[in-house]
Amino acid sequence: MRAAFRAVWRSPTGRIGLVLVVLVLLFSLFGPFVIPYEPNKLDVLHRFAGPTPIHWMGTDNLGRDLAVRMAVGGQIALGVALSTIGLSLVGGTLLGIAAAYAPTQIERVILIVFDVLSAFPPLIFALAIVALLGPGLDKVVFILAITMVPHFGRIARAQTLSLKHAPFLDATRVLGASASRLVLVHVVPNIMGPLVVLASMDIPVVITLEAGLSFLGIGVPPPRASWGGLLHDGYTNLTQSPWPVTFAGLMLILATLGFTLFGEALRDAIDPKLRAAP
Amino acid sequence: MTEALLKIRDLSVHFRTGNGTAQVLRNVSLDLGRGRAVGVVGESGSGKSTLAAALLRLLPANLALLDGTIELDGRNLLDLPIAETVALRGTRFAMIFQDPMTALNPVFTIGNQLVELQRAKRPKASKTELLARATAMLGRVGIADPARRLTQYPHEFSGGMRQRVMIAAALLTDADLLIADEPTTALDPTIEAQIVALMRDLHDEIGGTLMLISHSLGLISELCDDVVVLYAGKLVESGPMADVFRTPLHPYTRALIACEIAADVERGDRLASIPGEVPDVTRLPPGCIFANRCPDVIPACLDAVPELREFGPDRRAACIRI
Amino acid sequence: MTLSPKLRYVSSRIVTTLLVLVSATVLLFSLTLFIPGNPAEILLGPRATPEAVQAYSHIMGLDRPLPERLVIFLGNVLRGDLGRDVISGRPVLDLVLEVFPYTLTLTLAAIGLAIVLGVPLGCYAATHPGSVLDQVGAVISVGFIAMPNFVVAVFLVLIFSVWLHWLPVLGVGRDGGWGDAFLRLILPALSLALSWIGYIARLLRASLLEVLGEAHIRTARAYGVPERRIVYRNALKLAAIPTVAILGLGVGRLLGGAIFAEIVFARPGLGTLVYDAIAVRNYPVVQAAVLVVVGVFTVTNLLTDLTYLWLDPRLGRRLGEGR
Repeated sequence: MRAAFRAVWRSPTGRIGLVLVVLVLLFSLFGPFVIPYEPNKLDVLHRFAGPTPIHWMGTDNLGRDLAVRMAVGGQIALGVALSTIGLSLVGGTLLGIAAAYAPTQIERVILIVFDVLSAFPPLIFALAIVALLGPGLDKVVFILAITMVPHFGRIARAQTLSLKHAPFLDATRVLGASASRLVLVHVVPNIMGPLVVLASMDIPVVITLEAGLSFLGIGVPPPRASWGGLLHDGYTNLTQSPWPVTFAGLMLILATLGFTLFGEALRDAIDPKLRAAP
Repeated sequence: MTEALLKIRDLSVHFRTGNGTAQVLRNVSLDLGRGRAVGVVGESGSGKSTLAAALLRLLPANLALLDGTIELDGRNLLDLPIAETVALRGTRFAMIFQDPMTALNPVFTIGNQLVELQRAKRPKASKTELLARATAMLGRVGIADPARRLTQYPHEFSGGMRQRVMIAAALLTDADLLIADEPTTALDPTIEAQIVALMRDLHDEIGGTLMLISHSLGLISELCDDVVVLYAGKLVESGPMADVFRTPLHPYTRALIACEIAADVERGDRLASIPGEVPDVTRLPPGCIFANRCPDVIPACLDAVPELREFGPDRRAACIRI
Repeated sequence: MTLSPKLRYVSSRIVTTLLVLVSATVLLFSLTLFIPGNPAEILLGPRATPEAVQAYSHIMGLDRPLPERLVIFLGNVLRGDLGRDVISGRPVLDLVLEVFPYTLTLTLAAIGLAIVLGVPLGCYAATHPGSVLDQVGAVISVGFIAMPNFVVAVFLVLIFSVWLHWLPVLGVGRDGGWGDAFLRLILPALSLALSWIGYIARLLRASLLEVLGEAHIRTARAYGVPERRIVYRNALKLAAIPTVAILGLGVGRLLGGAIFAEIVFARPGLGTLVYDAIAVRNYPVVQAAVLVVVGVFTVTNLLTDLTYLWLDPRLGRRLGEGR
């Protein structure tokens, strides 16, 4: 792992990505403590202010300080990304391993489930669910996690299949290891590589999805500040002030760009090593 | 005596590599006589494929030096802009490569490709005309049902058949010079025999100049009139094939011939081999290139590169011990 | 024979596609079961009398057993009856068909733009590897890929309309004729196409570089085939195969992204339809739009697989040998 990070640092694009990621993280986590404003405190008299020493990024359409809202938005974005990816990684991996070991009929069912879930672009699926059940942060996480399960599941299955007949697994089984121990202690660590890479490359994807849903008003409901929501509010009031849109947009671009560059450098660092591993 | 088709003089080719400059060919001189089949013999690393590539200027990007004379019709191709050599490809020069399995584009039909490869020579001909020529030529190289075969893709042909297609492509250009780079190395022995027979018949029938590159002395002896021996980028011996193989002058040539497995070899016999390894062409010794493996080496051999001397009509060898 | 295994593969893919479509429809249907409360009650509003709710429930078929409802639903979908719009009472199918051409135009324009801009970029990068433009292009490609398309859309509006006043931005320009409609298509299509330009340029560069090193390219060069033809015909056809495969998989995201483009640029289309419907909990419309998108997406996947098969004749043989 440490070697991988060192490799990322060495590549110029990876370095930029890592720097951006760290900046975004620091801003999101520590921003609310540093910036002396409440994210939801209205101050209508001073709305649409541009960036000034008082309000570093200006204020939004209701006079709330933009900078602190951006930080909160960052926390939401990262939180959603981590929980979504975490859930779908676990779910997908379990299903994928199950599919690899299960009898053909069950495997076929699991694969069809994957196909059906993949047939729904995440955004569309989210639209359908929100239309029915109303918006909400937890629903967003749940929906996105489900649509990403096939994504991880297929890779987990492919990896497990290629690993299934590895001699060390047979040896362990002969030594009397139970099935669950076999899976948890031996299979999982060996297939984690590509899955971790995939997961890290999915962070910007989920950030984009959450922001997109919030932009449409079906993601994180107001008044909670999400980047997508900030962008939306800024857009509807574009003629009053270009600043909310500019900052929210830039924030999103920097975050997605940073995580993408970082993820790709990580993949390049881990992948060749994976090929070398037994 | 008719003038040679191509006169190569002091051809040198160097490449930039991670280890330094690789002097892959050094001062190679030979004539390609009209209507003659010239064999270029050497081990891997002798530079023989580079020689062929240099004639067509198909050299890789890390080329460090390309020097000497490649004279065609009285003009040195290396002095002219590369476009002149490019114009010769597919018109006066044709080439057959080593591995028939990868030499054809997998996503186009054979017919499609055979038409395309004729276009350099016949840019204004119609597709129908070129297809007709291709059909006839496929039949000539021994492919049954040629009209149907033209509609098929390379993966529907076996290795031997693909090499026949490549030979057909080369013949379709009516080129003055055909260069065959290890045409049978990738084929099974039985198929190899068929291809060799085909090439001999075609050469007898069509004439034309053939440059055959191979590490197999047997192949060269079956097809070639003249032979040129390369070792680690240097031409060490040349002359009519029968003479060179019967009475080799250069110690390397003698060793090569001794290495060919004789018909009367018996179990338990030691196979002849040349001790040592081919030298690294990025770090050349000052003297004769073969000195470190030569059975006849003397101290003087290490001082200077031996000159190529004449030993009779068309017989040359580079060794101070002859 | 190479035809039979191909045919078998094609028919198995078609069967799978149909299976997926049916399952997706079933899934959508079952989602309606999760609506808290009685749908009829929701539709009629809080002041409806119990009798009215019951009557309407009967009309909606809510009192029939579940499997029966499912079958009726499937039958309706097949007949093209996607329900009625809650607000206007018009058949949802009509609403969808009305706006679909706009979404289709936008999507096709985006794909076209992505190909027109992405392919030359990728080809140039592959034929001039390591050059300054190549390196700059690589960074720009990643940038394009990473940027969310609605952010791009919003910025495009900000720059080109609000700031520079260059291009008309909002709406489809019904009164302006073809030229006006075309101008209004540029920015939305660009916002959708940008990430695809990045993808295409990168994918094509990588596969072209690989193909250009292969032996058959050397054959073509040795026979004097012009370099331009070698790159844009011989090599490109081969390099396009993995590129097409990956792009085909991304059509779903393209459709999802179209929603943003339509909303930001205030264009009519499937996206706007769905967006407005969600605001008023107009589920039949949402359901229909989702079905259409899923349908298009799945069919596109099938077409991509078939195109892949057509582009690479070797697959026919591989299928014949079995896997």
